[in-house]
Amino acid sequence: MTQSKKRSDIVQDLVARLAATGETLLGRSLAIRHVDAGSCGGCEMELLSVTLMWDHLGRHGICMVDDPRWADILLITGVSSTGLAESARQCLAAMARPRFVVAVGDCAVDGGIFKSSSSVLGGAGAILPVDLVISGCPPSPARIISGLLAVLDANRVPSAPGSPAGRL
Amino acid sequence: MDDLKSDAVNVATILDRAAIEPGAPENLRVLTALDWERLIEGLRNETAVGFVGLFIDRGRVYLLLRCGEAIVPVVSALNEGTYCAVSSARPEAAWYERLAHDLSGAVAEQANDERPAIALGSVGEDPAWPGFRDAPGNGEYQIGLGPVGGLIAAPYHRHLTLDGDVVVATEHRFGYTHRGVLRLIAGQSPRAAARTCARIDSEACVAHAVAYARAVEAASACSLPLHIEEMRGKMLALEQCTVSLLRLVRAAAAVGADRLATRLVTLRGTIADTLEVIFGHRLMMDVVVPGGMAVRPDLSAWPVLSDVLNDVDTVTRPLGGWSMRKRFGSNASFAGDWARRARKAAKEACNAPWHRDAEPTAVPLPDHDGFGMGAVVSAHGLIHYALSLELGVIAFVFIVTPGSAVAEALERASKFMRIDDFLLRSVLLMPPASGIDL
Ligand code: SF4
Repeated sequence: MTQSKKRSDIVQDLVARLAATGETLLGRSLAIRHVDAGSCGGCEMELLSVTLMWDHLGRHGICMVDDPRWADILLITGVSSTGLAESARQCLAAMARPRFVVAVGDCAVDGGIFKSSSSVLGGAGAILPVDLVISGCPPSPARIISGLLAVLDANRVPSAPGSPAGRL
Repeated sequence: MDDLKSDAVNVATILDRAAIEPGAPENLRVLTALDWERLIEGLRNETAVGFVGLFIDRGRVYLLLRCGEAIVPVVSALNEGTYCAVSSARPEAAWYERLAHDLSGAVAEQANDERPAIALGSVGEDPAWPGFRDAPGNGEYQIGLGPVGGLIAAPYHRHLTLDGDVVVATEHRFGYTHRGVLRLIAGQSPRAAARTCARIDSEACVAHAVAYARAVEAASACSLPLHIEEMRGKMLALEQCTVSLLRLVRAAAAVGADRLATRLVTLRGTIADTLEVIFGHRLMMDVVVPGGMAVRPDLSAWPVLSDVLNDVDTVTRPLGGWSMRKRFGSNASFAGDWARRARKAAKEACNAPWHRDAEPTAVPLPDHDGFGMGAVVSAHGLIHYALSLELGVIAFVFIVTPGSAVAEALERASKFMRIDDFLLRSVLLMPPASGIDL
């Protein structure tokens, strides 16, 4: 399908950008810690595709990690439910700077269809400072990858001295 | 109900003499408090009647019982916010009593488990309440996993008691992803609420949407043309296929079969791409609505989808091979089961007819209030909706999902398993937490 060609273009693009910009702040890798803050699991399905279908991303230094201390990006999916808000905050607190928070999926963007529920706090922005949102319910793997490209683009501009992660 | 009469005299007698409130496909049996207690007593020895679910709404307790093929709703008024616990006769009712308490405050008297279900931090000093029951024995130790952990992990907490690498006991704590789904749906129009139902559990988007639509259609006395039912059947088969593939993806990744995982996830991704073209959504959300379908399928991508579905057989075949069976060890039969289900669902989806262009995709819902129920067997088990339509909106809804029962079955099965085997089995069988937490 034409879709797969587009995907490989995106991967090449990502790999090129990582080589060009990755060392500025993030070193040679982009490590992602995922936190499901109240998802239906749909965004995770697509995330799984991102990590496995494009497995060669791993060979170029983009990977998922389970320890927040190794992570550059905190990737949040799902609404911010009261039961997981503290876990997400602790996860971010454990991450070294520079670090980025990326909200993936409509639920994480603003609470999505659940935003009027009294049981949720809202999107990821309700509990954490979010750098980038990737909308969609769920966003396609290609869209998630595009979002990660944007993080690398944003990272191209070094932060001011003394505030290595000024935007956070 | 004939089965019930012949095999379960006491329970049948109580249900037969109950007052009737109209409902579809089964009427509500309204019991006095005394008959409710007698019913619980009768259930103790009654094997022909199964427990399906329990919930509270506006001062009444509802019990869903399986009698033969039918699911029979039984209802009784609360007595100052209390009712006689069903769990004393049917332990599987405990989760529902705990959930009902957290959602409504109603107390099940003589319940066999009084801990909160989803109201984390609601009792005592410990913010991580509900507490666990198992204490470590001599030489045993305990570890907790989650709610945040793993690479892409579901948010629940698992409490394991171990002796070396052998599991002695397992308990789960849920509630982390509670989104207030039931309250959110109440007060919405049938059409608006369908969007919420489709987003309860990603492994049952279509199953939830169909069960919900069937409940609304039953409540509003709406009958659907056969071709719409057939279309829904096809979508359910497609969902079963993709969910089965995803389960295998996770399991293959967990045993280090990366190449197989990549092939499976690529296949699932291609199916999702074509579903997006056909239905406008990768997971087929927002397609099924009460009264029919919101979308007329675009069949231009069907030949591609048909080809991809034919590949399911080839891609899942290595799971039956010796090397994969060795990797999966004692879980090989579970992996094989998902592979068979993926193949069967792919075949079903290919064989089921598409409806023709001239046929309508939906019929108008009659302006009719009432109580209705709808059920679907999803990839993980039964999903059952019970709801009431009043003045054209959903007055209340309750959803039975398979997650809590699967978790309890896993807890029982975990005893004396090696921890690695148990964690792999959980990867294969545990449904998403969001369907449990609601
Ligand atoms: S954005 Fe959609 S797919 Fe993602 S968690 Fe929310 S409801 Fe599920």
